[in-house]
Amino acid sequence: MKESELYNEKDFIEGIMTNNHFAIASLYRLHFPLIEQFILSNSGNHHDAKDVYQDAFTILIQNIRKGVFRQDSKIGTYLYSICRRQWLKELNRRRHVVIDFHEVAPYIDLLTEEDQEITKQEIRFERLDHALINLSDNCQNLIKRFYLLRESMEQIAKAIGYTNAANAKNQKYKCLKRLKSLYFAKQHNQ
Amino acid sequence: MNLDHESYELIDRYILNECTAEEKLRFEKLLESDEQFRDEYESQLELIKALDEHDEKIKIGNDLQSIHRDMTRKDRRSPKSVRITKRKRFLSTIAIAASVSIITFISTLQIINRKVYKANIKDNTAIEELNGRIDQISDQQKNIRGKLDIFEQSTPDKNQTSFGSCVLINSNGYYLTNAHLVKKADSVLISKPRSEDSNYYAKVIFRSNEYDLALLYSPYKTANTSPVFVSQKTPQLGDYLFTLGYPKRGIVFGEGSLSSHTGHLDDTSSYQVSIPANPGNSGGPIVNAQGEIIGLVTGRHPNNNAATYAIKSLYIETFIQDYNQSKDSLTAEVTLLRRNSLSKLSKSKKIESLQNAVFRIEVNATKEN
Repeated sequence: MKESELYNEKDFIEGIMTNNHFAIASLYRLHFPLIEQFILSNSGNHHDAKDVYQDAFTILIQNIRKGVFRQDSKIGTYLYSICRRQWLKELNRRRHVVIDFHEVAPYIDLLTEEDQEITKQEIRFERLDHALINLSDNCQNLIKRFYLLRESMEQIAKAIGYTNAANAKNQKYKCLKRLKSLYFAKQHNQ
Repeated sequence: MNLDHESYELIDRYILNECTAEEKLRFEKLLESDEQFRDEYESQLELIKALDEHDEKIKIGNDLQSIHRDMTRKDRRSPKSVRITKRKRFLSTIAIAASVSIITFISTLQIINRKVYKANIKDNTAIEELNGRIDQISDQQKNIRGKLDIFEQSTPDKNQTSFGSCVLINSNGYYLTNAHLVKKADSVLISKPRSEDSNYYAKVIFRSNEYDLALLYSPYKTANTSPVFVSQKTPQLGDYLFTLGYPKRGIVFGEGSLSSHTGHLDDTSSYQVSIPANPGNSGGPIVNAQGEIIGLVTGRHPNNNAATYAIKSLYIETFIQDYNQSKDSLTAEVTLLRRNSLSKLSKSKKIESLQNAVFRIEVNATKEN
């Protein structure tokens, strides 16, 4: 593997922090075969391997960016450990009895807090996903432009087709209220 | 949630770090004194953090998809180029070898056929299928899909209008349907379910006859319609499945289960499902109990109403990848949903949500002669 020679662990972490596409792509390619082997030898197929790996990789990136990645473990070991966790959950969901994994690499046991944080994050994502889907297209558009792209009310009014900024502001207030009620309503059910 | 407009505005400005020093003071005062304000601030902060996290996750997901695609494309390409050069060099040898193997294959099949015939002397359908297969080999150019009942509702007169179904797969206005439906189409009209007067034109932007899939694009978005989730999971034999489609003007629900992992004449790219389907169902989704799309209806067995065929969702993904590879760089990529947001809903809620994403299409085609 030439790629692994180009980067060391520190470079990869740096690359993820700065959103360097090449570093992320090399890291992705570097560890995929191992995870694929793991999933294939534990009653999964290629698509499962891709899904589980991408899930774990996303968690890795988000944790590194949040500064909660444990520097004492190697990236490969960490990825493998998260994939084990994700795959175990998926197999349970499919009511597939797991007696023992056929291990293909060393792994670490995730800390309880780490495990809980991953679950919480998944719940947050799903809840918001559901809330956004139930929001009208205009509202979604408005919320994204305002909170994520940080566009001004004038820009938003022009892009979505409101007559003026004040009108857009009024709409934003309504959309936010609706999104809030959708997002927090689901929380009570769970 | 009874705070006034101003307070919400203040909270937003504070979270997005746009406050003036004066506003900051006012904010902190309110945070101290007003409990309701504090609650509101906390929930708004949580929501905005969740929005950021959600957005980041989707962006990462899209990046990883494209990295993965590049990775698998490269893997696939290299052995192919080697094969082509070899093929050119040894073309004659390969031709001889191929003809020998075809002859062997046919004779083996005939032997198998005879054996099966003896074994299943009562089972007429099995014999028919096997004979069909040998016919197909001797008549090599015959198109597999040509043998199916194709699900267009054709009107016999000259205007050549046919009807079918399509499904929304991307919120930017991308729909999926069958290639056979939009063949030689002059115009494709999508109509919104449950409202007759809102039709809009769509463009066929990509087609694959091999998978019988076509991608339609129409910029007119319909509010409150979320695209369907295309799953890569393989259902088990006997798994509950249902479909939604337009064999008539109104949407029709049909249910059944997975009968076979292969389609007509053992076509491995399709499933056989026991959902009765009629002309017009073509292009409609096959959905599992979790509300995920696992295939798209393409046709049915000519003599058996309970054998409906559907292209596997795996090929939907491949088809979309092929489109993304072939499109020019200025056009946006078509991405499929990465998560199923319906899994926790009740069955009737799932159907309600999905039926908003299934549309009727009307295709006007040129008559050939």
